[in-house]
Amino acid sequence: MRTLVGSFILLIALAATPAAWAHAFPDNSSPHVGATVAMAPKEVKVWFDGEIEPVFSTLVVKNASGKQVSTGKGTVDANNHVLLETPLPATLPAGTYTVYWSVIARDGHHTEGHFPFTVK
Amino acid sequence: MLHPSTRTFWWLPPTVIALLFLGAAPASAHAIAGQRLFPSTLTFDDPGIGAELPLVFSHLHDDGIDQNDLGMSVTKPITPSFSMTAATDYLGMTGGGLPNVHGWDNFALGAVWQVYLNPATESIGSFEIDRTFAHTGSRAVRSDYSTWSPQFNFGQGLGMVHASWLRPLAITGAIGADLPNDPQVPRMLNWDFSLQYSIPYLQDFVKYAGVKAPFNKMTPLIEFPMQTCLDRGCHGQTTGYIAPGVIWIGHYFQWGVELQVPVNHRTGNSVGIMFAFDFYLDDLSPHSFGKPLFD
Repeated sequence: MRTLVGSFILLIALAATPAAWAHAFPDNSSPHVGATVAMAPKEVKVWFDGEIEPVFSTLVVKNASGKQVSTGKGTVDANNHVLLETPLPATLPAGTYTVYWSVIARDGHHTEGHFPFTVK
Repeated sequence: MLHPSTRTFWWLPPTVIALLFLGAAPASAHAIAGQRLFPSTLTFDDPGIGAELPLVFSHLHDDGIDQNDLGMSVTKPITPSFSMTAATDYLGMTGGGLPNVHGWDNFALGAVWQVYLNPATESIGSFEIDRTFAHTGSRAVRSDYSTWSPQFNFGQGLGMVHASWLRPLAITGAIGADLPNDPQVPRMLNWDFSLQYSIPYLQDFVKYAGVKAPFNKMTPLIEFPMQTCLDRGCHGQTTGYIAPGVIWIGHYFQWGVELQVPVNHRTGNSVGIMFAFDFYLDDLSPHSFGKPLFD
């Protein structure tokens, strides 16, 4: 019994020893997921619960007809590696938009998702 | 079958663990299909390829007997779509005017293949085969027969449905059989399923509801671990539990708690409770144990 318990303790210790980063999932966003906003936002920001790789992480915003309205593929904030953001046009017409994000966490794990927001 | 003394295959667990640590290559684990993460359920396997170390404790007081079970297993990905598992339980029974018994249950090995994964439809499925080895546990609690257990595991998210309030919902399940090599022991059909409502999915992909920590990482769920006897004098008799509870999902581990409510008197007459910790070894150790051996 001691051997088995010891083996599992050893396993946990070995597993926890190296630096760990884990899968990255959204923690918060601006606009909020599913929000309806009166004024068009100037940018979309998504904060993740772990650091993400700038080169391989993307954030794009598309309108209801599937046309990309954001510029570029989004950028990871140089001073805050949990923040992925993209600017939006100054004149964003009323309608429903979808934010598509795809990120690689620092340990190489990929996660992706999308969420809507609406401009009145 | 209960016996007073204990004898374990002390060399087996460390040997398996040592073998599992040999070599490494990149990739992931977790049961993820698209933007859907299926947590590890407490009473049956999730449909993903694992790199995990779950510990599940259950307590049941029935007919004056306290039954405790500490289940533990470790899963190592061999390739991105194939993993192997080593598992056992520490069992204890006290009360009821009977001698107290405790000890290790038989040792089990398993293999899991990811047979389909569709991110767009949040669909995932795996085929699993487990072997429990006779005479590898303590004499006090072990069974004196070996068992093959083939099983199909599946998960389906409802993220594509029109009604937005239903999108955080997911269904997982497993259907399989226990095939013992003792002709006197009945074969069993195992059919398990769960309904899960993911608060993280709701807030990350559907609509931010203002739910704060720690509730924003929780998935309320209800599990139905069921078993139907196939032969040997108990043909057609079904036992099982309704297990409502919640699972909290963190960076490196999840924990969960569930009640165990018997579905009929054949199963039992008392409500039990389960606690589980599941360590995500692919996140805790992404460059060694958590990696598949072969990419």
